[in-house]
Amino acid sequence: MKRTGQWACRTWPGAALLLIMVLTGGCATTKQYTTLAEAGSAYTGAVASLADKASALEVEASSYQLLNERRLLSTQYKDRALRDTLTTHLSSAETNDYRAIQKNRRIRDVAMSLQAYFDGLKAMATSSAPSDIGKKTGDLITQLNIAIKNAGRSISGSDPALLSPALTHMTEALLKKELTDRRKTILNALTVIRQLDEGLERTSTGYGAEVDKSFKFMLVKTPYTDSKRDDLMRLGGMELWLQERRKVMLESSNADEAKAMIDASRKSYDAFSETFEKMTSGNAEVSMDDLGKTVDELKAFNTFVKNL
Amino acid sequence: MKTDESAANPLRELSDFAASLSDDYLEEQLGKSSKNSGEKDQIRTKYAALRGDLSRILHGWALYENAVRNEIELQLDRFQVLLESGPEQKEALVRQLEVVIVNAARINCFDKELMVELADIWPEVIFPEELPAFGSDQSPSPSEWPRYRLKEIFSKKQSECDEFWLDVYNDACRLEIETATDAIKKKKDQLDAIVKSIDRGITLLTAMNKILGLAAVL
Repeated sequence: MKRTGQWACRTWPGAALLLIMVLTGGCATTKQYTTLAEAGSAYTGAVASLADKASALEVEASSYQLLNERRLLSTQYKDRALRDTLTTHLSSAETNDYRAIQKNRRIRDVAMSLQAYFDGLKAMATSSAPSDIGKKTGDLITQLNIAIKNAGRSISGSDPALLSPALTHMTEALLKKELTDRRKTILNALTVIRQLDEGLERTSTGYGAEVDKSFKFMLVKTPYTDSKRDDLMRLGGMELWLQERRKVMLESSNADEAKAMIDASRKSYDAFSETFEKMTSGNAEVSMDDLGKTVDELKAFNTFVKNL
Repeated sequence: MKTDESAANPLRELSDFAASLSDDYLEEQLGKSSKNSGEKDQIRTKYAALRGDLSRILHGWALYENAVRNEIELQLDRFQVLLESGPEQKEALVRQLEVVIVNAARINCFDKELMVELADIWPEVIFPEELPAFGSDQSPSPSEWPRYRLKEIFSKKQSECDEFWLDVYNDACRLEIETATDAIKKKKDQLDAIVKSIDRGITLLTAMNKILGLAAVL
């Protein structure tokens, strides 16, 4: 663990040291909390993108279910009865999808608000930070609380307004105080983000496999084996079929991708929330090495999500 | 804050809370309180109710784990084998789907292992045309092979669990029960937190009781 910051602090003249201790409640390890803010930004950015992917997978699964139901219902019903039944199925699927999308969007909003807050802290940790950054952070927390409330959680409402608007440079110790004092709000936001993992798990277990099976059955197998269909007699149809079959044979399956998404998402959630809880609890320390590993893990998660 | 969603987790937390809150300690806290005797009696009654509910649910959960789930697992495993079988097992496969539908409805949604097994099975059931037991031209009728029934059961159970984890456990109970347990262990005077946790604990056990369907198990 780097000790530079602590050592420097001990060697300062007594009065200055006392003043800093009074202001900050102690010394913090150099760059540790700046790094935590960076980790938070990487993590929440990835979560926001993942929320959109989760919605896309959910809609895709329900679209295939609709197509499959249409195929089956067409053999049981005719004309108006068929139209009415299909309308009911479509309407029910839309209601379910809309509910899932809204939930994911609210989670995305929380993740984006939390990312904006961490980015604000990162900016504050550099000398180029704007002079009103303290006020800006307060505004960002207000935005975060609004997003948390919209996601259906009660907000703590007890985090004080913390930083002087006149601050232009953020010391590590002040950053530690800021994050520790905002702990309740951030944990609240993380609890909302955890819902994404749960939603993703619901989507990935089964739904990914349903999409894969439906795709293969409806777009590859049936056009090829059903002699009544003439799709493959037309150039456009043939090209499309070749493309669809290539996807089935060569690309990773939705089921595998969804499982990888949920694994990565849970692992990253655990890594970030554990590190954050430890570093802001006042009871435990995190070494720079461990923090570095967490940051690397979260950056890898960010890259993984971007490549999905 | 780790993402561990076993039912054993909230039950463990509540047991820990109940174990740390002895009758003597509760009486000591009530003795220091300015609440009137009626309010104090109400707290005692609620705490006794919490302990009773907890004991009943722990018993029900143990019963499910030790007896009920074994039968469900056995039937799901049998079905998995039949899904791989050829046309000679066609009738057995159809019969077993009926058995699996009944047993899937008995799965406790907190039982992650069986929920995952069910999630492996239901996408297979959607396309009987793809199963070796049926050829493309020998698909079973909708009455003998309800394609989406297992998916519906799975989705319903997932929703129930979501509701519990998101609305009851994560949002309302977990932090308060943890905080109160911590306060008791540190011998802090925290009667209000304890009373709040007793209330939350009862809410949590009521929700679990609904999901666990203990009436059917016991």
